[in-house]
Amino acid sequence: MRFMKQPSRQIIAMIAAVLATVALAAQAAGGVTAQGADAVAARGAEAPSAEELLARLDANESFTSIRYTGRMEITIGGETRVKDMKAVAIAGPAGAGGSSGAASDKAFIEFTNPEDRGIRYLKLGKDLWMYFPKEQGTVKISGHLLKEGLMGSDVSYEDALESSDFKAKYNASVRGSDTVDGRKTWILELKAKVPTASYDRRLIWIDAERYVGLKEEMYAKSGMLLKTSKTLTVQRIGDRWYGTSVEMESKLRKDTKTTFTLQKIELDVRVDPRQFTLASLTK
Amino acid sequence: MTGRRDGADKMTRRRDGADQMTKRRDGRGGAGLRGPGLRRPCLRGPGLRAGMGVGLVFVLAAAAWGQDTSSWFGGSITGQAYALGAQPGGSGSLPPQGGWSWGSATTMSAGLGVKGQRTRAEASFDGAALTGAGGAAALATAAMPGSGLLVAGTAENALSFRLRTLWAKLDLDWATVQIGRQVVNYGRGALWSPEDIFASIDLSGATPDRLGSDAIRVGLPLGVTSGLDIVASPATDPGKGRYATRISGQIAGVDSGALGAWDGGAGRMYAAADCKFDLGPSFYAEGLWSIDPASAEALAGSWARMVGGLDWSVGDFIFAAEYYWNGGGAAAITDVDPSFPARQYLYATALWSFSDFGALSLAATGDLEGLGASGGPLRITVGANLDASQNATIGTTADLVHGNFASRSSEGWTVNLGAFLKVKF
Repeated sequence: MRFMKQPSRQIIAMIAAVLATVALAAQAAGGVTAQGADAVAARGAEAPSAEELLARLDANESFTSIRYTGRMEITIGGETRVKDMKAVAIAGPAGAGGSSGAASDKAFIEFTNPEDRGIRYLKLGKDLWMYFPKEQGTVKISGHLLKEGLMGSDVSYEDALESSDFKAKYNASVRGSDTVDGRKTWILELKAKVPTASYDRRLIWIDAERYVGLKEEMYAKSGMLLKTSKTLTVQRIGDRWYGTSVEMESKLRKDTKTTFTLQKIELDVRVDPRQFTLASLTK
Repeated sequence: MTGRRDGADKMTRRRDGADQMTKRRDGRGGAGLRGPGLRRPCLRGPGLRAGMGVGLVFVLAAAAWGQDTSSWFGGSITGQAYALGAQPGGSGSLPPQGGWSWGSATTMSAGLGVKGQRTRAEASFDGAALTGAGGAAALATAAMPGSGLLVAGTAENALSFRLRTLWAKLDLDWATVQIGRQVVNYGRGALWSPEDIFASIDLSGATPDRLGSDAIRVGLPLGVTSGLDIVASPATDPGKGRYATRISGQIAGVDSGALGAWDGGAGRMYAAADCKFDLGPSFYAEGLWSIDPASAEALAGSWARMVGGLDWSVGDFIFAAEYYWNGGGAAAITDVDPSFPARQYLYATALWSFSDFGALSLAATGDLEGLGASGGPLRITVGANLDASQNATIGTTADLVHGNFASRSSEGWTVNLGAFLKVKF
């Protein structure tokens, strides 16, 4: 039993922002259902193309480096577990591993909550190491262990290491427009074109003005709604908008949700490359 | 399971409580304390200790007064009640006449650290108040060489203290220098790690616990994922200290390491190598070879110890197994590994996460030759943990031991039943 068997891209992306600097994307806030989206399917004349939407989403959320503190709150049946962390990451060049260059992304994370204090992760492309402070030991997370949950969550290491290259895994189309929390959004539909895609179908509500994902729904091949997520907070950071708090719910289980919040975000900051070495894990 | 080696924090988190429950039940570390087949040298010379103390204070001060300094303090308090039962006449019986005894242990494990731009210092300790049979076990543990356990009190009521770590580190960009009591953690094995020549292991808990060594350590990064480690653990007479160099890195995706060491106290040289790789399940292996270069029959007196293991997971289950071959054991050189003097052992674990907040664990350790011949020694530990709330874990355990691993006796059972509550801060 895990918190969420198939974490949404939002949560994955935010964790990955810790581990892989993958763009935060597709957050949402509102109550429009997929059925509602279908009802609005008639595309407005001003609707941008799917490629343009994805490109603007990426442009808005891309960065060369990021440093922040974060908090993950996992709630199950009224019980909440909190994980605090601080992280720094740099993005690999685009094209090196998907749109975000995930194959060459580097990230360093350290947990600071009492239960996990001092546990550190180092992500170098597709490789991941974990440091245990009590034993001052470093272990490479690989093989079957990549399927285990990150810090007790249902976001697996594999998820966190996954590239966010939607273009490679999905066919995209614009389904129309909608309003989410009073903001006009474009509804982007993604249909899986490869079996390795996490979901068969996804709907992402993208803020028409800020090009930030405000909401997402993820469906199984049977059409069953598996997950929903919504963006709780969007902040202006420099010249871009950023989703800094996302809440996700699994529709397969009752009373579960995970909220991931980024704090003290710094984008495109100078980062010492020596931070991303095995030696740095033990410092 | 595979202790620190598994890398699955889900597992380590679930197991953390189980680790506590048996370990604190009697405050001992006693029956289970072992060196890595090698006596751990301790800094006993007043000059050396003073020098290290001055260095520590210097670096602590530098960290404290430096810019961008951060500090932390945290730990846990664990309360545990337990019942010990033993068959009359069984080896290692608690109590020796057989029957049941009761006790409790309240343990505080705490640590503090300070970090500057280039400096870092940390200290951690365990302090316990023990009642019942735990007092006697703690006194016995304290009498063992290298235990590092200080005990005051009687066999019925005692206070114990162990300084786990106390070190300072300086980052010079091209190298790091770490001085003080620290866990020098080599090798890949979970229960047996022949390459782990510095760290003693406390086996009293459900999972092995590496203890700190007094050492001076220099780390030289050689690349992003490789490095050279130089460690000196001098004794009162530096000539009787232990010194090692280890190089580690990735070779074709395989985590690898090689070590060369000199043990002045034993007058022996060591060479060791280790690796870990994935073929679905994760596999690891390590081996150590020892020779006395001054002996006229050096080769005849040499011995080796090897470990091979794997771990894998299926759904909510995680499994691991480890095989240990002690080339210096049994008919050969029995004091190579006093805690495991036989030739062959097997360690196997399974963990089942039965809910989001709970897990069951099972671990078994057996002397393969003894099991085949006379039915022992054997140890089976079953535990259950539940994350009761944020930073709080409750759990229970049953620890059964048949015979005695150190003496290779196969007579008598002892059982330890415990329950605990652990709160982290």
